[in-house]
Amino acid sequence: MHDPNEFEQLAADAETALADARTPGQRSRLATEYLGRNGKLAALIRGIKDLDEADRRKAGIAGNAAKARLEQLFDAAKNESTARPAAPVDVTLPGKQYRLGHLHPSTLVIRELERVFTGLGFAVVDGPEVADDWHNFEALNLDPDHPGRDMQDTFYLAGSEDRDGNYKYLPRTQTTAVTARLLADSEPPIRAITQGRVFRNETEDATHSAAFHQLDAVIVDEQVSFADLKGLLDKAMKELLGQDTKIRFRPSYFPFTEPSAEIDFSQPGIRGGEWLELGGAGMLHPRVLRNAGIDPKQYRSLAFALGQDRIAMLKYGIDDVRQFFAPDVRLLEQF
Amino acid sequence: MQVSVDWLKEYAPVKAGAHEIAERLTMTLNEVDEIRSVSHLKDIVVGEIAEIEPHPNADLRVAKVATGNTKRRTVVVRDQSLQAGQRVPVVLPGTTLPSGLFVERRDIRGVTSDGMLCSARELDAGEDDSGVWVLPADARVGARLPSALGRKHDTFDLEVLANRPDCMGHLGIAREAAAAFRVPYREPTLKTPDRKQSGPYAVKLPATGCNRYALGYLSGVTNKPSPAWLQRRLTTVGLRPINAVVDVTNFVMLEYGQPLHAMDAEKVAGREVRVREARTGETLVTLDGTERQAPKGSLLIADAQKALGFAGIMGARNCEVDEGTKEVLLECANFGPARIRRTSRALGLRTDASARFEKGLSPEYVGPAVRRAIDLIRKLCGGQFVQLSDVRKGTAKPTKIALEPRQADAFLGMAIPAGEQKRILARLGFRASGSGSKWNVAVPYWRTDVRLPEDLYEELARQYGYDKVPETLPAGESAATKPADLVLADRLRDLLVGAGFTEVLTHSLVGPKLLERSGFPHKLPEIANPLSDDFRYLRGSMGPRHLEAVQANLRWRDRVEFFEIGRVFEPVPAGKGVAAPNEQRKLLVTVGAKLRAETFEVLRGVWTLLAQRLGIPEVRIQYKAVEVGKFMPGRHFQIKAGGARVGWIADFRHPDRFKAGSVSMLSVNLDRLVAVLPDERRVTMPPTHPSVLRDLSVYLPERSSYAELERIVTKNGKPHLRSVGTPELFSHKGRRSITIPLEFRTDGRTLTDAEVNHLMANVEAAIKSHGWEVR
Repeated sequence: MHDPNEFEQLAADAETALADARTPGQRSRLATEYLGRNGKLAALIRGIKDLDEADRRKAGIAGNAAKARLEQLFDAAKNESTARPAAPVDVTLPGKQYRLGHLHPSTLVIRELERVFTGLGFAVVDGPEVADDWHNFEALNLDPDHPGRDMQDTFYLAGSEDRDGNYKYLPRTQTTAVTARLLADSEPPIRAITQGRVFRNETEDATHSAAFHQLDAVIVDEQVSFADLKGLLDKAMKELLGQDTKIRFRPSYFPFTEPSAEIDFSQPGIRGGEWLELGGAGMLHPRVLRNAGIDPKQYRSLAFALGQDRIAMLKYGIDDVRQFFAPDVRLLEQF
Repeated sequence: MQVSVDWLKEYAPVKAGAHEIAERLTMTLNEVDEIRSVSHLKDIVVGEIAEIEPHPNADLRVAKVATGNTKRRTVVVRDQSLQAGQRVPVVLPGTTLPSGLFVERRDIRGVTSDGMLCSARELDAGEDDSGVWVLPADARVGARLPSALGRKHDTFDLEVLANRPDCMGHLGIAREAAAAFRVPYREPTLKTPDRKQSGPYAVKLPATGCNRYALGYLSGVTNKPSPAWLQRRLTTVGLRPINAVVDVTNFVMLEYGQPLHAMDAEKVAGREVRVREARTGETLVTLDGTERQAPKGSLLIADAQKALGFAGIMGARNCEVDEGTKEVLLECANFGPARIRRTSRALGLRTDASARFEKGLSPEYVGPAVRRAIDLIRKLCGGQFVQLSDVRKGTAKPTKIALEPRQADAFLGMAIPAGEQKRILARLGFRASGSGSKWNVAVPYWRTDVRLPEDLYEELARQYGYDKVPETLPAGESAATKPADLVLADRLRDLLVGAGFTEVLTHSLVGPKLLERSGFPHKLPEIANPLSDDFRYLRGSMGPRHLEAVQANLRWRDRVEFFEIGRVFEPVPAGKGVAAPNEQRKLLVTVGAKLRAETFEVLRGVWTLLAQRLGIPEVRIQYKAVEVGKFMPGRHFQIKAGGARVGWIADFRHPDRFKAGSVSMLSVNLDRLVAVLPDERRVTMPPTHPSVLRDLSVYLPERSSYAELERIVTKNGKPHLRSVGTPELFSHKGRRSITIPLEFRTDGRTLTDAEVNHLMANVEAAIKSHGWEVR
């Protein structure tokens, strides 16, 4: 430091250099060069102490002025740089790639159904996939020789035979087995859904699987009616598939319900709105209630079962039920 | 059941056509599957078989078929039962079948076949595919099929519900159709009296299994082919005409739903027909020509010397009625459904008769059915009606049900006027007596399924119209609770999807081959009647199926990362007797890579993420190295949290067996994990003063544990060390080096450099005294 005027010169140099800077990077490097802790301004300020008394005072004032001017200069330059992007951006490029996983379509449908039914006050319950003959069949009014057992081809567990050769345990053929357990274990009023895997001894093809998912729902209360059953399913399907969805009941037979109905639905966006089978429904048979220790004179019960995989297949356009248990990431990554 | 529309209208004069009847019955009775007619078969002509001979060079036959022109066509055919004189559908060369098959003139093993003879199924005109479709004898030769058979051939397939044996015949369905269309229902009038006990034959019944047995005896009949009208009835619904007597039994079965069995009396020894239990090892040749051993407990029809058939299933060949039969014994009986079902299963033989008995026919059908059959045989074959014995056990009391019409309304949630309720019941043959609020309803004999008021509610609802049932919502409120393990499962799914993992579902059944290849244990709950060997066991782990999925998906990806939450099973321990296998809900996360890769580290990170997000502090988790054959030694660890074994993490030992370079798995037991989850979570408020960050770098000796290093650091960084960041591993000058970011902070003020330097020095000294080198 020889002369307090050096400050003025420094400021002028900085201004010129800044005017030539093209990119925010260059400007930022200049800021460090001039204003940084080891920058040019700092070096000059450190040199003040070598001046004589009179110049020191003058240089101090000049130094402060230069510092203020430089700071203002670089601040302005910085604002300018944010206001004016340096290079154009191609917004049609996809950008940074994020990798999230995918829920299985069956889970998506289960969650939707749970949302709908919990919204209607249904508790979610769960039970074992291996059921005993009582809960899967007998409690549901299906005696060992009942022809209704033919409706469900059953796998049996080896080693669970009694003396007459009848099997006691089986991979459940219907989630209604869990409902039977629930009815026996709880006091009315009851309002619950249960869902999960069920098993049928069926040769597999595009529309049959030895295992699939089923949702079972039940209400036991003093005043429920067959009309409530229809209203409930209508509301649920409208929530699940859209307000323009319709349902209809057709006569059917299930040993554990009386009256019984097949549920069909029609949704304009699915297969042109043709009627498609959704599941079975009915009022639980008085004997089923009695088997669970519930007095059918005091309580009535509605129940239904839906095939979740079938809903998922129709909703998403999956044409082969075997896809549910043979993971193919090319399919699953679309969810 | 295949229903002929023309036949149906004989008892219920409905004006509507096949489609409208099918639609109405679908909404009032049960689903009608398929409506069939011959209107689409304009290119098919009726031919008559003039001659039929064996093919000279093959196990086929060569038929000369008249099709109206002077020239007879030569057609090669497989069907061995076809006879000269029968009329059949002929597909001329240049015609395309409904299946898309194009028929042309071609050489078949040295004989030029000038067309083709088809089954009803091949022409999409019926179910029968057992041989060439034999047309009724009055089908005009040379006519196109639609004009030869006309609307009279229209049929539909009604799926008969398991509780409705009354709909296993045209009369029962006509009754439903009549009710649905509000037209009168007419049953055939019967001429034969309901019994004529005195006669040569005696009947003997067993203690159980046969409630009623009628035996008719006709002498001096002239058996011959059936007239055209009868043949048409049978062929329309897929049955082949045989001879008049046999055709009548089939006709009456299809009319009433009651099976009958005709026997040639001259082939029956003695004058007693008995129903008895089979003797051990007893065999008989059934009408289909198969020798069958009688299963234990099965019921047979027998004379004094031999078995004449399996009761309610199929007759024996030894008493078969043929065109030479002059003396006819006609059996019309009611057999208990359970026994028929068991015998039919044991024989592997399901017939039109057994299917009907299994559903539980009313014994009251026996009378009208046997009388109808005798009427028809006398009309068609002449002869003398000698005897009709009718033996029954016990008397059937008609079912009576107390019905309150208002109660029905409440149950259904739909008001059906009382008058309408009465009319509906009457149309279906129920008789409601009484007035006011309580009726007494007599159930007709054929409705064995109706016993309770609820059964009547269903009759009312389906006849009034299921489409008229209003849509209401149930009253009442309740709490929508959900069990903690299901909530946890949902949370895990969300976390894993967020971390980039895809959810899969795999089969719960596995086979020994896959278990062998994957090295997972075989001792699993076994299915007694598996679909195939590949579905023999309930899975003990999702692992084997995941390995299969890794292999499948590595065909189109270099790396797969997926997870499944599902139930797995343990075998029942020996000596525990009959019990349910233990079931557990588990999570399995699998990472597979085509080449060797650090898949273990990925899953270790996933476990850290899950533990953190679920609020399980690291200090509550321990790892223990274990060795199991299927996993890589030194790369298989049991995970304990809060003292419970919550899972494991491992590298699969034989990824090459599944065409992979590396496969790692993380297994978590949800039932155990849910038990160690913290009840509530507390947060730390953000600090008011800044932290000081320092990096610590240490050369790690071989076989050292990071957890040990972290313990030393944490202990000696006190009191101001606040957190230890994620360590990073480097290779530095050929040695393994680890760098850990440390955060120092205190409350209420900023730490000075000197304080932090002091703590860092303590940490470094402790590490050195442990024999490790600080870099």
